[in-house]
Amino acid sequence: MTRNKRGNYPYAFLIPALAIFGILFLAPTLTGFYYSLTDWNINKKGINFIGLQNFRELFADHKLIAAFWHTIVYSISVTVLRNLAGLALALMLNESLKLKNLFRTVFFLPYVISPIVIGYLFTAIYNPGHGLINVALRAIGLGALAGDWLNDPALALASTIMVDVWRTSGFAMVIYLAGLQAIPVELYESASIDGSRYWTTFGRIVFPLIAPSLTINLVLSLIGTMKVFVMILVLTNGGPGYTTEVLNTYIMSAFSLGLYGQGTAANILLIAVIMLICFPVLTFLQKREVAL
Amino acid sequence: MLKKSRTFLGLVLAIALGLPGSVAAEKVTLTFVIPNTTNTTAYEQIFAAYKAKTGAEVEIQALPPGEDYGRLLLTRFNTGDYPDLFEMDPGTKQYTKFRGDETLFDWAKDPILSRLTASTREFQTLGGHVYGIAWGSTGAYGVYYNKAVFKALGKAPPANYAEFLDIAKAAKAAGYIPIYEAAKTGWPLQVFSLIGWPSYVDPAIGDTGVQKLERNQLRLNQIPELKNLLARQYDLSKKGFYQDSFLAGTYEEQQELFGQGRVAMVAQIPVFISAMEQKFGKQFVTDNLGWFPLPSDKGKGVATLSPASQILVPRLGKNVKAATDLVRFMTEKANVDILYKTIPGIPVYNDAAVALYPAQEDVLACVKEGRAKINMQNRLSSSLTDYPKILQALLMDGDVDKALATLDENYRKTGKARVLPGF
Repeated sequence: MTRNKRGNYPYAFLIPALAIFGILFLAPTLTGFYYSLTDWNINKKGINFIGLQNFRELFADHKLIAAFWHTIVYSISVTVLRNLAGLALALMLNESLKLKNLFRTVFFLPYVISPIVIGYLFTAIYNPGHGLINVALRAIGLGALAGDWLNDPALALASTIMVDVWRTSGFAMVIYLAGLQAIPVELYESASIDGSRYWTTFGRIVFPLIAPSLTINLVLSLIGTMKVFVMILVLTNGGPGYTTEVLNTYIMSAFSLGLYGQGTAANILLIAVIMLICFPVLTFLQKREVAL
Repeated sequence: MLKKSRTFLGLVLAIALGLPGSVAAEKVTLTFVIPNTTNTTAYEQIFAAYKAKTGAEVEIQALPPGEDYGRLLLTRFNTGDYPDLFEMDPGTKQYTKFRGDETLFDWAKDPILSRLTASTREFQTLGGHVYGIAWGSTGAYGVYYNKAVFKALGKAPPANYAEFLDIAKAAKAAGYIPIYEAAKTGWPLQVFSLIGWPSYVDPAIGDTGVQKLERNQLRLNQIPELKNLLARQYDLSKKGFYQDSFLAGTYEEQQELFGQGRVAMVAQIPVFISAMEQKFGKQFVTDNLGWFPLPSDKGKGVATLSPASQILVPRLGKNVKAATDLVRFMTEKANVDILYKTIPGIPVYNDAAVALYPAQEDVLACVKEGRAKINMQNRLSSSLTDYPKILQALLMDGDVDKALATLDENYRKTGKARVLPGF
């Protein structure tokens, strides 16, 4: 076998993966981009190229602007809180506790339950009259804090955020645990011998060494939460009013009106937003990993 | 030998392809989609009889009601996932919505039509086509009230809007919930303005105004009476006539509290009668459930009628023949009688036997007095998209102008999306 032939040989193994990627991702994305520039409508015969008109109409729609901001707030809030909670749980369950395996399972469980089921559960838990939260608050004399969690416009988005944090913190915990367990015990021992306190050890040794876990958690969380749909649909259906409308519920509305071209354009916007946020975050975090 | 083999092969193919008389043909399971607010008692009885007669099963799929219902069905149409048959809001605007000329079975020459009342037949016909078979009864949107509560308050149905407010005030003072709003559920929130339309908006714009709306020659935000109507709804919330935390109110709780005698009035649609009957029995509906139209400033008001629903059969579905057979079976007199026995209402079939509830007798009296109009939603081809959300926002911020502007914007956007003339 010549050197040139040997050199090309590994590329042959890339073909199946590239073909699947091309057929299942690239082709639909490019097709979607084309349709976003058309007047594709269920009620019209034929599809015509209309340039950027769909995008112009989208940017002129105050509901889309609101949905965009709600998505950003939702995504950043869930990402930050999920990671804080997940890291805290991981640190706790990385210690030698008696029931740590049981707790690990318990904290991970919400992640394997369907978001629809969780949504319905929390609709009951958040009920202002007989929901668990308000009943508990009233029972301990904090009735003044009882609220209409899903229907008060000031609380609705925050309430949906907390449900998603509760649901997914266990997943973040597992990733952080994997990172924590890869840290050699000797490093902890050396730090201890040098008289390092808990938070110093955490800041100087633990946190830098779990950087890859942080990268994975942040990026996955940002991508996942910007695509939020089911949780919002079940808990608030975008309401009350439009106060919890997110990009995906907006896209659903466009599709259900039969405005496929406009719905696809909104979807392209969502992809663009995800890429614009996630690529810089990923690049920054990966550089940080190298630096550490 | 060759001939025998061919005969055997033919038999095998006939069975495999489900030719008439084969076992496979008897194993049809039809999917029938309905809103989950529908009382299914009649369906269950009729479908059991259909199974006994033909061997075919009918599976009911109940979807969320209101705007979501239409959206989900449209999504199924758009993805080619046609149900075998489905129940839908009345009127020919549904034909446009589901592109009837391309997707729906046409009943124009079917004998069923001859048994429908003339007005129903006319209402279901568009350009000589009839894609939906009327099913159910003419009902009324309006204010449903608990007669026992009214009796305890010493009140009778109001003769004008001021009296309506007085009743709410008296109910509140006596510790009842004057009006329960199921704002969380969404769709019930729009009923108040829909029942107010014939009493306030129709007299102002007339049929000509409605025709102009239909052609997009009149804007919703140019109708002061509609703005006043929305302001009245907000005013009810400001006066504290709705229950506490009304934005969390649900349709289920509304029924429950109304049946328990804790609610004086609700703005509701005809299905409320059968829902109350299912939960609290025929006696409750007969003795305790009253109805009146939303009164105008000077009079008792005009009833908002909802025509009977309709059953549509996608002609691109998998079991069109069996689905149309089922519709014919359902509309036989014996089965129509089952329907009206379980869900009494003003019938749309000439030969139906029916005993009306007192609330429905009151609707009929209104119709006979000429105080009735078809619900505006059934008169317009475009839709008030996101109406519940707009009203939720209105009840939160009290901004009537914003609500009206969004309503108008959505109405025109939907008209444009449906490629309606004038939009």
